[in-house]
Amino acid sequence: MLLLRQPVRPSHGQVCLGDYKSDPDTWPEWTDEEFERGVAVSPGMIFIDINDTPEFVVVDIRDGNPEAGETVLFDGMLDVSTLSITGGGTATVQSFLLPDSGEQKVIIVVNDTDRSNIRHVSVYFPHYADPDMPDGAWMNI
Amino acid sequence: MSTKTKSGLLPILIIGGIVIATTQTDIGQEVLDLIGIGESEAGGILVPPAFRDRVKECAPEQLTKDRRCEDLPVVPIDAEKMPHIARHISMAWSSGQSALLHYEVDQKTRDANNRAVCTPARLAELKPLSCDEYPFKSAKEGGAGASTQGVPIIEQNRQGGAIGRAYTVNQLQDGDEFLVVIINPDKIATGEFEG
Repeated sequence: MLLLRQPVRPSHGQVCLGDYKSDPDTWPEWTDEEFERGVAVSPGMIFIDINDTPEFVVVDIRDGNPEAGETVLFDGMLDVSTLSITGGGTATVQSFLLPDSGEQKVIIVVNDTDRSNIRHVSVYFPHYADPDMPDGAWMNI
Repeated sequence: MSTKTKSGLLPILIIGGIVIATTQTDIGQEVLDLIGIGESEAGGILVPPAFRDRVKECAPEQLTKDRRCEDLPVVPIDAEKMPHIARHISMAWSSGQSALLHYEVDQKTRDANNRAVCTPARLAELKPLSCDEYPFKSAKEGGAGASTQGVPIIEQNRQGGAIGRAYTVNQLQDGDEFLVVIINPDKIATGEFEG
């Protein structure tokens, strides 16, 4: 189910997802290996490489799991209670308060394997899925 | 209007801060010579002469760790990790851009600053490199008149993290001043990125 849709203008070639209350000294440094994968990860912050674009990138926050066959960029744990979605190089953030705090399983999928074409990022929180309130057709937007 | 800094425009910059007698690589020394820095002064922090006194009491390690020198917030750009961005910044300084900038909090203004210089035409011209702008779009001094140059995307990514960390650690408010410094200036790239 879609919980939040946040358009964000990438900055410094990236979109940043995570908790800005986490220690900045732990934030990703973009090693060569991380750059190859297109994603840089620290315990509380995830940076996604998106080449220069003047266009918005839409970030969806969803419960549940992605569909089979989607392009998974990250599948792991993120230590987050206040989720912020921003471009790079900023401390000014819009934030989304999560019901839980601490380490949570997160799956991030993107619309294209070519990072220059990434315009849609979906962040899934599997454990927020509610079997009593499954997605209907009206939620498949 | 966007200005493109040319590599031939490199007047004298003076190293600020710590004097460390280190062995320079030939490439690093070539750059330092090019921008007017003697070997005995190299190895520490690069800032334009006007701001040398603002960081003379702080070691490069301290600036990197604390992201400030006494009461002055600092954005450290490590030339070892961002050699071409460090080159661009040093060239922008040498063409008259300031190292002392003021924080722009408004996202719309930042976007406008970016669009003023990293136009679609400029992006296409620089592709596959990233359009780097100095002064930053997140500075009051950004936007029209800023210098742009193509840099590797990974360096742009790293710069985003470095700037974001410095802003966050210093809890900058709109209009607050901060100083951009280059760490490891002997690692500044000697020329444009060629892939």
